Amino acid sequence: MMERKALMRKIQDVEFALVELQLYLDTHPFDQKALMDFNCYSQQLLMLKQQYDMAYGPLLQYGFSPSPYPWKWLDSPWPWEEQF
Amino acid sequence: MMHTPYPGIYPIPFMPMYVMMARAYVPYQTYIQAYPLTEAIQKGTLFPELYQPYIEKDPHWKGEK
Amino acid sequence: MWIYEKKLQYPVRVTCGPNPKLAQYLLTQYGGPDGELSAALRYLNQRYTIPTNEAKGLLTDIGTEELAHVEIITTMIYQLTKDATVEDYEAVDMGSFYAIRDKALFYSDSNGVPWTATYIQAHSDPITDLHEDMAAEQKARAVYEHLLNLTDDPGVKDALRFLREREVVHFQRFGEALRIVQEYIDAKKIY
Repeated sequence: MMERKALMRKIQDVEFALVELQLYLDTHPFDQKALMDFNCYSQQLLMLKQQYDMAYGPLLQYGFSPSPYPWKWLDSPWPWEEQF
Repeated sequence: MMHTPYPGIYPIPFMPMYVMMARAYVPYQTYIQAYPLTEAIQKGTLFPELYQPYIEKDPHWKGEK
Repeated sequence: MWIYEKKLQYPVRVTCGPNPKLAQYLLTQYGGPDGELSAALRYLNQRYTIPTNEAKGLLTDIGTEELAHVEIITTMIYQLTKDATVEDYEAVDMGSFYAIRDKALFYSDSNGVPWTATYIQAHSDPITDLHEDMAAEQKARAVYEHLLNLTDDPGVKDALRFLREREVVHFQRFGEALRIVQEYIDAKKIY
């Protein structure tokens, strides 16, 4: 269980940087360094999310994360019930 | 309508070359450095120049409890 | 469309619950005038008439982030009240909250005033709308500072500091979007 939280924290860290860079890029569409970092973190996030999906069930709705049998969407804690 | 950013206005300077009355200007940020990722989320921003924390008042009373 | 991600944007830790009084204070950032719901709906609603592409992107992306902030606020409220007893509500003079809907949430401010669309505005004029957005970020920042002064729960403070700092960053971005609009106007590249 500790491991799931640690992985979740890592996803939160990387995705937060991506939120920041996304907003920055909206007003700086020609900034190459920001774009490079964005693409690099986006690769990292993809890998972390795949790892999470496989071990603990889908992180995203509507088929962005596949589910093993049986339906795993309901297994992981709901965000408001999570104790960090 | 397709509308790609109009490159003619970029790069946008830190502050406008010609400032006008009755206009508000925010300095334009340039991305130079970033906090390490765990520090960024903890601070609430990736950008050191935007980190402007609030110093709380001395609590003389507590509303709750 | 939107895709839900089963995760909080920021890890919320409530240090000492139950504390229904603090939950009541936080409620204004859920359904109050300068709350996260107001923010999300304001930005997502302005997207359709803002002329520049940069601002359309920003309103979409910040509007979406605000929905994640709604969830951070509700998580704190939920965790502060989930183990509260009827006596806990009575002890802090919140029997009326309990009487109306037990622990269920409601889009209102801390005093129970229901959310209303009049909290938000849109005028289609980009200068006007971006000033409204920048003002909204400042108002929300001030409210977070009031909330920081009202509590000493370290976990709640931690999340409030995060949310407050996001207002600072959003102000900067809306300010840059305003600069872009000013540059377009000055370049006589009228949208």
